[in-house]
Amino acid sequence: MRQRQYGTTGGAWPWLLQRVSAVFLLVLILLHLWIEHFMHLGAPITFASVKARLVHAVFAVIDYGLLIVVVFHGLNGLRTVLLEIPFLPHRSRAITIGLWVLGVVTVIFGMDILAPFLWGRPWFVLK
Amino acid sequence: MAESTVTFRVFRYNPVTDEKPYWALYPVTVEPGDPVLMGLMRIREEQDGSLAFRASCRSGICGSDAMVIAGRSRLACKTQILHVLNAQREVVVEPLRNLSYVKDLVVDQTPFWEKFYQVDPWLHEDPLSKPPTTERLMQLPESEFDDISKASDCIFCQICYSECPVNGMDRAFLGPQALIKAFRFEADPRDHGTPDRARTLNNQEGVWKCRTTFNCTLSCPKGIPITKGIQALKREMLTVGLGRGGGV
Repeated sequence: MRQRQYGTTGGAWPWLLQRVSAVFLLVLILLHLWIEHFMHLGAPITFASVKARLVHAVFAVIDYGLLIVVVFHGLNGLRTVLLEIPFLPHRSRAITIGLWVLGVVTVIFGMDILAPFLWGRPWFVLK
Repeated sequence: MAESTVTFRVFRYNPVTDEKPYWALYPVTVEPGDPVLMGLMRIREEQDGSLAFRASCRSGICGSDAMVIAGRSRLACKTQILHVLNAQREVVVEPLRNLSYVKDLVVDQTPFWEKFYQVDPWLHEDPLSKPPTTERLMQLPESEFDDISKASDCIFCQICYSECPVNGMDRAFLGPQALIKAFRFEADPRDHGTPDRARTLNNQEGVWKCRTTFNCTLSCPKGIPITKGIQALKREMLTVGLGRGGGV
């Protein structure tokens, strides 16, 4: 006897990626804090010093990686919270698409802020 | 034994005569060791025969007399009156949460049973195996039985369902009891029902909705590690969900 089917399929990927991104987040935040605050303890943070650091691919990857992982983890968590609201699970697809758009825009905006250090000027957002 | 008098503050509602629920107070003489169920039976026999509640075995086996006592869902037959008195020497008794009350302490169990049946709570045979022509034993090795023995202890009391905050927020969530029952069969090596069950379990209202608050595990009168079982189901559904391209 099969009764009324509740909800929609899926859910494994958001659950897994939230945990995977949490692990990345932990590592990247610790690296970020070490690089920003302890690697050159006492030295003033200047545009030139940040630029000199970011030309090294490792540091750029850490900063851009942190940006992407933070945005994904935060918005995926927000999606879970929104879907907890009783009348919103029916809007699951719209919420997911909306948050993806918000996430991509946020990441592009974040990348644009770092662009002057790497290419001398912002790409397009901060003209 | 030292007798004493306590007050039972009982949730009352009769859909025929009452516009809304109200609290009724009943003084009851009790002795140390008396369970709440005994107090309720005494009220019904000596003071008010219209008080409605479910009860059967009085031994913590049938799971019929689950109700909210002193703010937590418990079995009335396993809860001693003197252990749950408040400062006014009252025992506060209410119907289970997350299920609609029908009359007094009786709730409508329909959603609970619907969700239970949704997880196909029986052994599924291998669809490729031929039907047996003679009588056979489907035995389980002792080591395998250890994994599912606790989950098999469920008495369907609905306490975990009542204590689950996710059930309270989202009535579509399967709930801890259906999930631990699914685990009981998913962990059984004789079972081949995963593809059928995955439709319900690998679902936003299935295993992925569990927020691991452990309320179910803490409240279960049989001591079933429900959250642990649900987490095991999540790991299993992860392979099913990703293998089948479970949606983001």
